[in-house]
Parts: sequence; C-alpha cells; structure tokens
Amino acid sequence: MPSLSLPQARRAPRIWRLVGVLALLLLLQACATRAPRPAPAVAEPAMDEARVQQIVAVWRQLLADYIDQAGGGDPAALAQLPARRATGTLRAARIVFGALDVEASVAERDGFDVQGLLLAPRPGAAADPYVFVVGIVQRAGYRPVALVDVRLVAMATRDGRLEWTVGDGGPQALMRYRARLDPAAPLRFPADKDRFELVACDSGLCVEEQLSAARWSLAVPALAGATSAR
Amino acid sequence: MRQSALAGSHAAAPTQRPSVPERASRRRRALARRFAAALATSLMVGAGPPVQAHESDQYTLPAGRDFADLGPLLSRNVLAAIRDAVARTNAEIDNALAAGDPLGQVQALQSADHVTGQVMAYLFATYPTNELLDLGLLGSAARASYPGLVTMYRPVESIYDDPLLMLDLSKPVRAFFRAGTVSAGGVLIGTDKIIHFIYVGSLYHQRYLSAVARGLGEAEATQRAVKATAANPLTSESGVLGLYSTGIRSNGDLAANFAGLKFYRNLTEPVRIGAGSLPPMLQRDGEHWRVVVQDEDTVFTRFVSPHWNEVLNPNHYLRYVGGRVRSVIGSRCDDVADWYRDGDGQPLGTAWFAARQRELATFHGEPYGHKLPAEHPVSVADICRGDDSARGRAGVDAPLWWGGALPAAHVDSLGRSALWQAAAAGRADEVERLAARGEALDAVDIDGETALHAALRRGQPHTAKRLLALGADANRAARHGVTPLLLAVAGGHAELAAALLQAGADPNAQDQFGRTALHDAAQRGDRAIATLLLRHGADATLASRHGTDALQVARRAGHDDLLPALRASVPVVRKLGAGASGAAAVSLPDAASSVGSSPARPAR
Repeated sequence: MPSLSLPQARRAPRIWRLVGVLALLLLLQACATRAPRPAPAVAEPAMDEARVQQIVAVWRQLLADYIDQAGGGDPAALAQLPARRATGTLRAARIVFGALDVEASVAERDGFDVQGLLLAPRPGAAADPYVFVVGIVQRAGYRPVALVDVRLVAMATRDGRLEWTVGDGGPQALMRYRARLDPAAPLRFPADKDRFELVACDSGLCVEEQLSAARWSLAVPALAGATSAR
Repeated sequence: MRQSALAGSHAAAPTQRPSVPERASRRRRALARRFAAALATSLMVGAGPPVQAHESDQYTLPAGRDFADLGPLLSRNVLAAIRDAVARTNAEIDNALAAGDPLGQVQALQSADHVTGQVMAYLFATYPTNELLDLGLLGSAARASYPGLVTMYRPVESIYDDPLLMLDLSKPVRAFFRAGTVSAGGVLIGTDKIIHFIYVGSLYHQRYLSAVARGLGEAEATQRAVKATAANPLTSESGVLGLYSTGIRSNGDLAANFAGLKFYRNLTEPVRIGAGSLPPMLQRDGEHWRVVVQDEDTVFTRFVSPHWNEVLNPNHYLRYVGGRVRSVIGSRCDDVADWYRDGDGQPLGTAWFAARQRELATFHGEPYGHKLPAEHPVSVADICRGDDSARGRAGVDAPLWWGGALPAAHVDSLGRSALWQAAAAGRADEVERLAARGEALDAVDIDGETALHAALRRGQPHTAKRLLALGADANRAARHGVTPLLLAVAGGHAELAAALLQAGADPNAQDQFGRTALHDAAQRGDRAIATLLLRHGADATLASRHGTDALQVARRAGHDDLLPALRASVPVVRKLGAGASGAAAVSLPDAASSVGSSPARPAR
C-alpha cells in the first residue's frame, strides 16, 4: 500500500530569502516618495484655543531652557541667534526663536513649527518686557501646509524668574495676514517681507504687520506708546 | 496516516544526513565562503576613504524652514585639530631635542610634511565618517544650540528614492550610503563633501607632494594630483566605488577634494583661490610651529564654495540613472525655486543656473576634473526651463549676484540699494564704483542695516574695510541696537574691530539687551579682541539689562584666562572714564567687587 505523505514545508534557499529582504527594503524606500506641493488652502483650519496654548507652552519652555543654558538666565543670549542662522538668510537682522516638530509623530513630516519674532524691548527702554510675535505653522506630508495661529507673547524677568503674558489669537488679524501671503512662496513665519511694527494703542501693546494691516494686541501697560519696526 | 508520513520523513532523514567528514568539509567550505565575502567587503570599504559611494541631495530641502550656519562650528573644530596637531608636533620636537637628537630626526619632525601629516591624523579622528557627523548634528545638544533651525537634513524622499529606480542595481548603494545636507558659510553642502575635503584632499596632497619632489611646478603638480586620483579604477569618481556603484560621478565631490588639497597646502604655504591669496596658517617659530590664523570662524569655510552644492554644480550620471533622476527633478522645480532666490526673494531663473554651472566648471579658473555632458546635462538649467516664464527671471541677463540687476539709485522691496547688495556680496570694487557715482554709503534697509552691517553679517571683511575707508558710519545702530563693532566682534574679526575703533566706533555702545562688544569677546573667549577693546576704553563694568557684566560672561563661558585683564581694566576705566584710550593694566582690583555686584548702567 503506497504511503501517503504530506508535502514537506521546505525553507526557501538563503539567497532567495536575502533577495526577499532586499526587495522589501527597496519597496519601503519607494513608499517614501515626495508628495507634490499642495495648493494653498483657501480656508485654513481654525485651531482650538487649548491646543494653541499647549503648543505655545512648549515653545515658551524651550525658550526658557535656551535662556538658562546659553545665557545663564540672561535673555541677552537671544542676541546670538541671528549669527546662528545660515549666512545669506534674507532678513539676517531679525531675532527669531523657533521650536520645530512640536507634537510631531514623525520629525519634519507632521506636527507644528513655532517661530517667535522678537520686537521689543526698544534699545534704552529698561522697563520693556521682551515681546514676540509667535506664529504656528502646521506641517503635513513633509511640508508646511497652514498658518494656524499668530499671537503676541510677552516675557519679563523678575527676581531671576521669567514671567509670561500670552495674548489672544485674533482670528480677523490672522485672516487678513494670511490673505497677503505670497501663494508662490513656501509658507513660513515670519515671511521674508513681513514688516511687524509695535504701535501705540489703548489696550497696552499692539503690533501691526504693515503690509497687511493685520493687528494684534496684548495687555502689557509698560509698553503703551512704544513704536519699533521689524 | 499522518503519523506514518511523519515517520517516513524521519525515516528518510538518516539516509540524507551527510557523514561526519562530509559535514566538516561543508563547514569548512561555508567558512571559506564567509571569509572570502568578508575580505571582499573589507577590500571594497577599506580600499578607499570612508566617504566613497556616498551621495547627498541638495534638490530636496526642508520646505519652510531655515538652516543653521555650521560654518563657525566646523571651522572651530578644524582649528582645534590643527592646534592639537601642532602641540603634538612641538612636543615631539622637544622630546627629540631633549634627548640630543640621537637619530637625527629633528629636521624631519620640523618639516612641513610632518606637521601636515599630523593635522591629517587629527582631522581623521575629528570627522571619521559623515554618518557620525550626521548623527552628532541631529543630537539634542546640537539642536538646542540652534533653536528653530535645521542643523542637518537627510530627506526620506530624496531624488534617489524614486520608485521606478527599484530595478536599478546601484540604488541599494545610494540608499545605504547617504549623507545629509548642512549649511556652511552660506553654501548648502552634503556632509560627504566634508569627508571628501579631509580624506581625498589628503590623497591629493600626497600626490601633489610627490609631483613637487619630482621637480614639477605648482600648476603641473596640482594637475598631476587631480589626474592621478581620477585614474584610480577603484576609488575615483569614475571608478568602481563611484560611477559604477552609484551611477553618479559627482563634480561636487571632485571640487571638495580639490579644496582639500588647497587646505593642506595652505597649512604651511600661501595658496591662491581665484584672485585672492591666503597666508599660511602655520609658521615656524624657532624650533617649533605656531598657529597664526586670522578670523578663526572661517578656517574651514574659506575653502567651501558653491562648487560643493550639487544643484549649482550638477552631477554626471550613468544614462539610465540620469534619465530617472531627470524626471524626478523635473517634478521638483518648484521646490528648487523655493531655495534658490535672488536678493529680493524672487526665484532665480534657469539662465542664472546655467551661468552658475558654467562658472563652476573650473575652480576659479583651475581645472579640478569637472565633467558634464555638453548636451542636456541633468541640471536645473536644462530641466526646469519651462518654469521660467511663470516664476523665474528669464528676462534678466543672468547676473550672478542680485545687485547687478538693480538700477542705480533704486532700492528693492527690502529697501536695499545696489551698493548695499554689492557690499553683502563682497564686491568691494563695485561698492567703490557706486560710491564714486554718489550712492549713499549709509542708506539703511527696512531692518535699519547699512551696507557696512551687510558686509559684516555676510562675512565680507575686505569689503567692510573698503566701506570704512570710504567713510561709512562706524557707529550706526540698526534694529535691536546692533552696531558694526558688535557684528565684527561677534564674527571674530580682530583686524576689522581695530579698524572700526580707529574710525571712531564707540567701544561701549550697547544693544537692546544692554550687551557691549566686550560681552561678545568675553563670550567667545577672544583674548585679542578683548584686549583691543579694553585698550580703547571698553568698560568691563557695563552690565546687560539683566545685570550681567563681561566678567560674569567670561566666567560662565569658562574663559578664565580673560578674567585678569577684565579685572585689571576696572579701576582704569573708573579713573579715566569710558573714552580713555590706550589705558594699560595698572592694578588688580578685588575680584568680588566687580563680579556679581555690578549695578546695571542705564542702557542707551
């Protein structure tokens, strides 16, 4: 009686296993193809306030760490930032403190880039706090896709500690500012041609971007009457 | 039934099982195969410098982000390697002299070849591979030093990741031997170029020295070095570890090799780069060698040039690879336009890229092995031509610097005149010509910066000196209260700082943070500049808004060697006032009185 046998499970020769692994690696490589540049969004998503506060808090913490480590608590360390930016940057004189990949699941692919442009204090104004215009840019598919928030943040030093005041988003100002952005240029904050200016106003401190006339305010009485352009 | 099948299987096994000697023989053969494979791999990897077959991609860059300038960091690391090498060489000389030079080796130890060899060894140890460099640049310490900036970029969607390149056998090499992109001295370069500069540059230098030893002149010896390296069938760009493993022959790599040769020669002899000449970095001082470097932050970057950027100086490809890469670049012309813009922020047209490509075919007039097909090279100039009408400046006559396109007496959208742009580009002759025509020297842009600020920010000390000679304002404060002196000191330009002080620059001018030039010198640990500032009446007691004076800055930064000079200056300044010039150290005041208790002088 002929014996019946089940087919033996044979292992593929080593060379084929190697080829298989290589093919898989190449396939994975191929999945990482760059997405085409997205069309500028007409209506960009609004971001809820709690999340904005959370993202700004991460930026604030990094700024505080930087001042502590690079300046021993002296905000004058911010003066070193322009020299650390690549030579040839169009607006090399601006002082910008940034945090990349906030809440990103994969670095550079998604999450948010937060950049704060320093406006005040004015030279000689000893009582001025340090005032930043902070912009949050959302990233997706390895590209910046939307400017989701712009607001003012003031920082003061008291008894060796940093004190913060964070302003409101100002949706009208954000819309006005977005409308002026060049759709042919890559989205970034601050944009190369922005002209932010501290302007006097009743509410304490106001900042206007001159080209779009977008205006943000913050209740910091010490700065009322200040004017300075960036 | 199942059991019988299993039994059958087991029963068959003993008959197929090889005998003990046969198994031993198989093991020996397998071991021999593994040994041969390991040997072949070692030969492949070890035959050339650790950078062979590496590729980087300057076409794919981080959209919407800015790079950090690593030029000063890389320069300081290279300078540290030079200093260590000189210290070691001098110690060897001392040892030989102390022993009475029984082997007659002092002369050899004092030779230029020996000290150059030591520099090579220390540089190899500083930057062994670009992978390690890339890893370090992505580390949290590096990123924290450059907040919000890209320290190194290695895209996951590089131009070499195109899926249709899957069947290309050279793709795995390109996939695994990658290098990141960094910015150094204003040029975007692959980190593989740094390793090329160090390693292959040293090979060029050895061949250059042998050619010189055979009696050849400088130019001929240089070309002999280039050709000898290019002729190596294994390690050259056209060899097995170049074109035939990656499909790419990189002109940027060749330029970095050539710049490496210039660097090693420049250690002990002056070298020419274009119209300029660089003085040697080392000098004999009695029995020893001495480092005599000016502008420490540019020790490396003075050799970096746009030749190293593979977008500006495109590669030569094997036909199949080139075809696919051409197609990928064609889909990314918008991305390229984002990064290559003129001084007004507008995308540069293909005519500009074509002119740049022609210019970079030689190293300032010297051949360095550049090759590119005459017809349809894989380059932005050839591929992105259709985009010009929409976005580029096809109508402009392709100036290599933006100021050339500006009519005189006009300013661009950032308020910058042709003279301002010429200063930023380091075109001193053009600055002089425009000034002679009556263009304002001190006109400011929208950030309040003059042409002098622009020249200083972009590392153009020669142009800055020319501007000063023409009468530019040495005290003009821009936004944030930044004066030309603050910029000169922050850039480590001692000679320029001296020229500014001679031209009347206020050594005690404070920026918006209350910092003076002395704070910057103390932060850098720059003894020469600190001494210069103190001699011109810099006040070491001036404090920032936060109450920090230069002494505290120096102490915090670990530059204790500056403390005596800073302390010594305090009573002099108090007696003579801030305008005292040429004050010498006269006494040592109580350190405690000046450290930590300085009242913040009202900022100006």
